Amino acid sequence: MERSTPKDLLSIKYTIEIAEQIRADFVIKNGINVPKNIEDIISHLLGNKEIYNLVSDSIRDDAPNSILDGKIIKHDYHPKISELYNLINNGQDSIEKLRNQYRKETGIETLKISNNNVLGLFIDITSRHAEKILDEKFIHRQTTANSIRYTTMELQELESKMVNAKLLVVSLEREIYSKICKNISDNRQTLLALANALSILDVYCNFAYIADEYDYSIPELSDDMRFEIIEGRHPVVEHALKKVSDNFVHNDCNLSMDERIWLLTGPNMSGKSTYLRQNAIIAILAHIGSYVPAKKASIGVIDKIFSRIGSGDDLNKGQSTFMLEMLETSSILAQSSHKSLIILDEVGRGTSTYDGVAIAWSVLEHIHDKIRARCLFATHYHELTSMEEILPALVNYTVSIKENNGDILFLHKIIKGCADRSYGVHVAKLAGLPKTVIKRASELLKKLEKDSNHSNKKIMKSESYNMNLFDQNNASEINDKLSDAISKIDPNTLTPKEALDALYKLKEL
Amino acid sequence: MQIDQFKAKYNYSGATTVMKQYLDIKFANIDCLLLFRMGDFYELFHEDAITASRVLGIALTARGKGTNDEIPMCGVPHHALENYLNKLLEEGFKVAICNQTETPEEAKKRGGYKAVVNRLVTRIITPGTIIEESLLESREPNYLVSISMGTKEASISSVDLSTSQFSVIALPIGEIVNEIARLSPKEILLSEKYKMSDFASLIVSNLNMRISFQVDSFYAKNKCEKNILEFYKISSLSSIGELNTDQISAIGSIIEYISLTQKENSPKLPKPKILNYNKFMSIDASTRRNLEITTSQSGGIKGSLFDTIDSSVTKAGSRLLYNYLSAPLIEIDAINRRLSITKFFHENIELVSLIRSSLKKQET
Repeated sequence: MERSTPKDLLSIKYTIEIAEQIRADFVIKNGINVPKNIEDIISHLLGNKEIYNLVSDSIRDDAPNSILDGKIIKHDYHPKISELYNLINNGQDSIEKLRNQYRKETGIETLKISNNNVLGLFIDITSRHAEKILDEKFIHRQTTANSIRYTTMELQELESKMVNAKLLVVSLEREIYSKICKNISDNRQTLLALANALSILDVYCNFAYIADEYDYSIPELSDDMRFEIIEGRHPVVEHALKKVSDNFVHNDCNLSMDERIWLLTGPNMSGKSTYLRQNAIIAILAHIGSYVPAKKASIGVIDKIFSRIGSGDDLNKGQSTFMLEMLETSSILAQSSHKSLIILDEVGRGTSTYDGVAIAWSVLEHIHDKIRARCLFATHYHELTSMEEILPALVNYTVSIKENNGDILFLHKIIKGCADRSYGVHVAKLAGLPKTVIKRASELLKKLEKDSNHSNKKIMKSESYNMNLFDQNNASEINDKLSDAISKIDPNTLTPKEALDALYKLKEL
Repeated sequence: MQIDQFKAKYNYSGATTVMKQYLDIKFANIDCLLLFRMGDFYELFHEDAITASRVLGIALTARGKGTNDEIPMCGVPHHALENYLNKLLEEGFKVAICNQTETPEEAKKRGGYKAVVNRLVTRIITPGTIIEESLLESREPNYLVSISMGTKEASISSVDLSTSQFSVIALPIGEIVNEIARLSPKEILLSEKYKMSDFASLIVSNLNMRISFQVDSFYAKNKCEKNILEFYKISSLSSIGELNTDQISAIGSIIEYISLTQKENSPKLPKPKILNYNKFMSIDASTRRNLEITTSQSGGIKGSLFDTIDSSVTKAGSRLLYNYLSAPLIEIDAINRRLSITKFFHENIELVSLIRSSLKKQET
């Protein structure tokens, strides 16, 4: 408060006025009676009339930002202020009065009273009138080529009064100002409460406004483990799409106790990640008291939300991506409870297919059996879809796709079932890779798929994507090769560099 | 540096009266860039001038140019101070503002025509203690936090001087980083004892924030308790609430820091709200980043969830919404209470328009 400028005080006054206006708005729209919880907020809007009057009576509407130059306090607020300003403003009048008086006394019609930096105020007459100055009250100050200059006690007094008045008024205004500030500072509790009430009103009006504007609906919170979103949307993506007049495809999500883990497969770019995040965001909005971008949302209170995306590109923090992923996954498993919402997007991607599938599999088992939390899990490991038969509360979902003469269209709609393939080549085509490359890739894919059925080991080992993990023949074949290679390594004779090279070679097998 | 060395280095004995005054003040604020008011300018001298001219891109000149006692100097016009402050704070500098506390006329009256006007550091500005609306990121809170460590638990106090928000929270040590991610403070105070701790390096590397380390005695319980009692002019801590040792240290240390930086104009703060860690949804730093709750992947507010749902009319409203969004509730009664208020306004949307247009007037 002590640091506030006159402008701040004026804005406090204005704020009080607005608060009263808002209180009046309530009465106009809702009569005197408003619900108790609203009354609790708006009761703080009134009760600052005294401060309003104080500022309104004392501070000039054109007060400057600084307290160093005066012009802050209204003249009629303090008699001394108006007296001093009168002195400053009327100084010129008094000078004129004196001049006229001296002209009369001396009979010199050309007598002037002027001002310069050396003498201050002085009486100026031309040399030829010199003999007319007889009165001793005229004190000689200076003689120049054509004029003689005098002063008088009266004139000196007037001058010093004017100079002093300026100094006095500034310090007096400062003094009055700081008293007013002190007074306001003593009332800061109610002012803070007022400011707080206005912010709260702004937030809830904002909630109501966006709900109305963007068509959000009220969520229903419960103490159980429900998570039922009907026609949910991602608010940020929807907002961005609106600008290019495209409609966001809404999706349901229903993680009931016996379907609490949704395993989501489907190609990249199909909107999986957006879908995962929108459910977490809807949950967060519901928990802050906002309406949510969905037709209906029933949510059992969530204590913690975890959302992880595998092999993010922004994680250049020194640790390997995979290590980081595992650290984060481990912290989720340690921290989450059955009331948590866990969202995992492609976790385990930063390693080989075998490792990845194995890790994802056991993480899912742990979430399903031990934590029993609600979970959305997106993956491109189709191998995982067979878990649906093993884990009773895990269900497969996928993104629907329309295929038309080899072209695919993402419908962004989440449906029950699993994706039969990953559509990577199609995505590559959409991304504009050269036609020759796409053509070659399609051929290879066909071959790989065919060969994989024929258990062709040579191609299998370099193609990891669509490989069937549980094809025992392939697995054992590679294992043989690996154990063969490993048995040839003698760790005791290797330099660190050779050891690393050996590791890379193993990886290539 | 010892005072003798300091005086020798800057030729104190040969300096003019005003430069002696400068050097005395500079020595007392040696860790800050000192902006020294001279007439219509804030001047910087010596190393400060060299640093500031580089950071601010302003001309470096010299006092007593051409003589043997040239002193590097640069300055900014007083009315443009805020523009320049912004840049200095962004670069992480502490800035001491030294003002003239009397007019030249007053000085002459007091000490004759040769008198040097009295000057005093009236404030030290750090990233976490800004109150100027023009320097604040308008829609997010501007938190200064102090972390106090116990054996199993830690306490974090947080102050937003621009909105007079003050709270303290006790939490498990493992949750410090998450809580810091939630608050996303502009300045973090911590005892230098924990310089090498895991959470300190996580805050620096993962959250990309600076920590200003304080001597450990900054957190001494007795001293902190005394700070609190004096600040609020109370006789017992129980008038604030039930506080444990860490909480006392967290509150006392932050009060001390505010007093040190704000000088005579220390703001009057409300008593700290004691927050219960178990009343908020736990969302860790990765999840916040991943869901782009208050910052988008590109780093700014733009494109975040907060940006999308924030149509608040006032800056204070935006900041409160930011707080709500950073700390979702987990008590069903508290959530339903908020929802019932939202519902009231949603059902009275005309009233909302009226209120919003009234609030808009205040903002202009």
